[in-house]
This record gives sequence, structure tokens and C-alpha cells, in this order.
Amino acid sequence: MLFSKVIILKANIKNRVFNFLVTAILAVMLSHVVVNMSYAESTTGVLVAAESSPIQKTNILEIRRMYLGLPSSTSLIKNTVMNISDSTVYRMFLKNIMHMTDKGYRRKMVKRIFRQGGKKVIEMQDITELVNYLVENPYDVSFMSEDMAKNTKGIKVVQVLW
Amino acid sequence: MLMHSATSYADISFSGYASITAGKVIKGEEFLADYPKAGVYDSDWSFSPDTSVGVQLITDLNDDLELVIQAISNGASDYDIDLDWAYVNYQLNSEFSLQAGRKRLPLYYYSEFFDVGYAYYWTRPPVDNYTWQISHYNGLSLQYQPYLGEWDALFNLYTGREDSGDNELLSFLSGAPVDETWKNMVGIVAELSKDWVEFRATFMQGQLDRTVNGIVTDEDVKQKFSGVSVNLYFYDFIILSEFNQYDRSASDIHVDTHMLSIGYQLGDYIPHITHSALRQEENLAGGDEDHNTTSIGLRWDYNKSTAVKIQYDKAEDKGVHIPVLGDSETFSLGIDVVF
Repeated sequence: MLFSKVIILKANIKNRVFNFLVTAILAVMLSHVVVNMSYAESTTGVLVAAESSPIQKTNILEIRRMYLGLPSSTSLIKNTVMNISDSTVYRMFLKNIMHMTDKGYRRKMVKRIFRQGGKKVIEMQDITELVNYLVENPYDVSFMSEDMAKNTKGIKVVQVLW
Repeated sequence: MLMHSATSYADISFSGYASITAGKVIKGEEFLADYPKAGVYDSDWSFSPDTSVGVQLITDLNDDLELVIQAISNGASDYDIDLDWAYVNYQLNSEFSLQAGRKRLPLYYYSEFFDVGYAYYWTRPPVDNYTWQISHYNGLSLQYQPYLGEWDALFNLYTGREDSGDNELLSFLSGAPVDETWKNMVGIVAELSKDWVEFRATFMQGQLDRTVNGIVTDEDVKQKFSGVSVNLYFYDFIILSEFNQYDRSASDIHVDTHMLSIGYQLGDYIPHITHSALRQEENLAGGDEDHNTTSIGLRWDYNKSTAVKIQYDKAEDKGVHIPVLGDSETFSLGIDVVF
């Protein structure tokens, strides 16, 4: 009798520990999602160029086409630069402007380059390198969060993207 | 890497790819892994059938005109250097462009990037579906890429010809030198895609000349090719499909090919299974061809420009009058990069 009570007690403790661990893991995952979502939703993305750039606001569809390596009909933009220094802003750019995921974008680009002879899109991992590049190339553009753009010297906001 | 860190200097852009793959037949005698270039595995380990390196150069001649060159070296072609592409591209406006020169023939979904292993998850595109003997053409193409919001579209109208002396596939299969010409080709390809779905339809018609061992066997023979592809990327599931038909009525040749593949994205890994088949009904000349291959493989994206792959292929050759290379089981492993 006593032996079976001990077994039941042990089983209850096991269940409680298991339930606690599952709840804790779910809570941590959920908090990550909530934090990421709130950051993502509150981030405004902007198109940026060098302060001296003559580039003006352009159609979002034109920007999307240029990031696919296709020519633009109206814009002065020579090259578009993919900013991957902030993974959240990068993902939001792909979602809101390109309407695709990272894998979908890379799949499309490799096909475009090796199927149609398209040029590569320049990619920058370091924000300082990106800003220096834009300053030296006034006909090129990139994107970043509005907060980052406002606090960075040498560049200007061309337009809000999302 | 598909995108790059400012490796495009001035108005010149370089890209490239390489696939280094080794394989061997583990049951049976031979496996025809690359039909167009007649790349064959046997019971010894070999790098030749699926190993290739390509380099692409694009240079602006002026604001609207660019020169595109792609050179390739394949193990199946004894590592000779061939020109895959050599054409000028004239951008008529933001939606229309005109190309003149040498290009790959866009018959099948993977025809234009058949050797770019990084662009697909197999070691090679499903073999029974990719059995054509002419891979290129010299001529003109007009491409139209309209603005469609979240959708991307491409319409490609092309015309041209190709003269293939001592054609690799036909000479290999017939055991005698075969010269093949595809002429007066006119074709159209229409593609519509967005993030999770791709549709493609293709049609080509033209004429064929063939000389076997110096004797003309076919002249001005009409031929037609048509096909559709649907690819789905639904959450982590990947479903790829392709169905094609080839007709040369004067020779009573009607060929159906198809491919169906299912993959699953597990982080950086994609396990996949594929079935491809070719069937040509027995015709008046007694010719038939009937083979299929089931493949199981795994792709691992080591980083954003490198993929490692292993694959097992089980080929079944049911051709009575035209057996290709018999039944076989083949194992291959390799690495694909883009740069």
C-alpha cells in the first residue's frame, strides 16, 4: 500500500515537472514571438540614398523590380543594395516590398542570373560599409529602419517603404 | 553567393557555378545520368558525368546594350570549354528586351540552367525527363516581363537553329557518328510565378535534318515540343512537376515524359523523392523507348552559396526494341557552389 502511494507520488511529481517544463518552454517561445512581432510591427522601413543624391520618390513596383535585377522605366536609380545587417528589417523588406521569403528570393535570383543572364544584387552585411558605399555612389539606394536612417549622417530618406 | 558584396566593378558583372559530383553504379552495369552530354556512370567511381564549372560575364556596351557570355566545362564532355551563351541583349524598354546570338534552348523547365546544380535539390534534373539531344540555338529571342504587382511574369518568343556535328547523345546511342540539325525553330515560353507557386508553359516547332554515318536519314522533318510545369512551395513542402510531349509525326515518333517530385524543407536540409519517366509507343519502324527512374536524395545547404547532396537512383529500362542502358541502381554525392 505504502509502496503504491510512493509510486503514485513519484508519477505526480514527474507529471508536474514535465508540465512545468513544457509551459516554461512555450512561454519563452511565445515571449520571443511577441517581442519580435512588436519590434517588427513598430519598425518603419525607408528607402535611403546619399545626402547628395538626386534620387526622388519612386513607385514601389519599380523598387521591387530593381531588387529582382530588372530594369526600371522611370527612376534615376542605378543599383539597389540589399541591406542584411539587420535580419528583422531584411525580412520585413522581403515581406512588404518583395512579397516573398528569403528562400523564395534567393531561389528567384539564382534562376534569374543563370537563366536570363541577370546581374547580381549588391549585398551589404555591415551598416558602416553600406553607408560609406551609398555616400560614394549617389545613384544607388538601399533600405533601413527609419530610426537608423534618422541617426545616420551622410544619407537621406528618399521615401517610406512600409 | 547569389547576391554579392560589391564584386561588380564598373559595368562588368561576374557570376559562376561549379558542381563536383562523384558516383557509381551499385547494381546493374551503366546509368545514363546526363542524356544531352551522354554522361554515363558504371561500376567504378567517376566524377565525369555530373561535374561541371561555368563562368558568366556580363558587360554593358552602352546604357541599353549588354554582352552576355557564359563558358562551361563539363566532365561528360571531357572538360572541353564550350560557350553556353554568347549574345547581345538590347533593352527596348523596362518590359521588353531583344537578344541575338547563342543561348540555351528553353524547352524544359530546367533546360536553361541544367548544369547549375545549386539551383535545384537533385544531383541532376530528373534524367528521363531531360533526354533531348539539342541544348542550344543560335538566333533571336524577344522577352517581355510586365509589371504585375506581387506576381512575376516572363514571356519569351524565340527563333533559331542549331547544327550539332557528331551529336554526343545520338552518336553514343547509335554507335555511329550522327550529325543533327534543328532548324526553323519557333518557340514560346510563358511563366507566371510568385513566392509559393510557379507555372510554366512551353511550345516549340521546327524542322530536323539527320545524317547517320554520312548517310542522310531525315530531311526537313517537322517536329513539335510542348510542356507544362507547376511548382509549389507550400510552407515546408516542395512539390515540383513537369509534363512534356514530343511529336515527329512523319517518323511516327510520339514521346511522353513526366516528372513528379516531393521535397520537405527541414531547416537547412531537404530530403526528397522523385519519379521521372519517358515512354515512346512502339511505332511503324518498330522503335520504342520506355524507361523510368525513382530517386531519393538529401540536399544540405551548408551556407548561402554551397549545397552538399547525396542521391540514390533506381532506373528501370523497359524498352524492348530500344533499351537504353538497362536497369541500374546508382549512388552519387557531390557539392554545388555559386559565386
